[in-house]
Amino acid sequence: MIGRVMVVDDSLMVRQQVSRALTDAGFTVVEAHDGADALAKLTDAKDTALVVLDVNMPNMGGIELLESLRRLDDFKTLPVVMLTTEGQPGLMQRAKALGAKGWIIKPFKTELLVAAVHKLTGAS
Amino acid sequence: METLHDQATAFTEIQEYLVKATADLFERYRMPVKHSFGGTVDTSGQSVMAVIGYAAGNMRGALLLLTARSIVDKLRPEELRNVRAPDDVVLRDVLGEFSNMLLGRVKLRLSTRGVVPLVTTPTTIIGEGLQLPAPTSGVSAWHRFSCPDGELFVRLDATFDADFVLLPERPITTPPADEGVMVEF
Repeated sequence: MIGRVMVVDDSLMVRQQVSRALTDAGFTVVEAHDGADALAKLTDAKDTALVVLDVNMPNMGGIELLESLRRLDDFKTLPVVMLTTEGQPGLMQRAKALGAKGWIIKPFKTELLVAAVHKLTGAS
Repeated sequence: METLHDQATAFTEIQEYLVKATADLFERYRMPVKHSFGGTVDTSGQSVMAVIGYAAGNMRGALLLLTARSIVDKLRPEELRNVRAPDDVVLRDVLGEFSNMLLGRVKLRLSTRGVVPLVTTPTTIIGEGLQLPAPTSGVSAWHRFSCPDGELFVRLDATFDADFVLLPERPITTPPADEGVMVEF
């Protein structure tokens, strides 16, 4: 086990694809189906090394979750990579201003996602 | 938007984005599709439908994706073959995510024309004889795509306000880079 990664996406398909790829790469993966679910699960998993985060989700979206995390001392610097169908510069700038580390547009390539997670978590 | 011609032109341009986006997306998933006009939308047998709404300041509508259950099953990635979830839930999720990716591609093109819509999360359903009535205002068009395993249908609904305009296309100065490649901040 080389680190815990949380995958937040309302799509079961995306969660499964990301989970499989990261688990195969040696990460422990926790799944959440929206921002509110992620927030609840993160309080019990403060050693999470990185969050892979969708933008458009019911209940609480990715940008809203990111804003919430930055207000909490435990997660002010938690690395976050956005994984979304969105590609609008305005949204990307918002995520960047909130300290997100990167932005990936779906459909994604698992090997590139795993490489990005390796790089951002410092795992090898 | 002052004339019927203006509205028709804008709707045509958006449909062109949609048709290209559909072809590119399904090609990416190794299911090349060919666009054609005409024909009847066949909803006999088990079908899956996904609908996503969108709204910008001066236009709104929905995108609808409809195809046979067997085609969605072929799109289902390997990772979803053995999940502990009912088949219907999985297939709805798959088509919902495809509709999301499809509208995302169209949104990106629209953003280069000064239109930045917000989108809903997809609503999906499985059943026989699925139909969604055409909207009572605005414009609506079906597009038919053929693939070796059958057909899929995409419908675009749009209502334009009087002040709607598609600006001349401007290049995207900030990435997005290629799909799947991380833009590092």
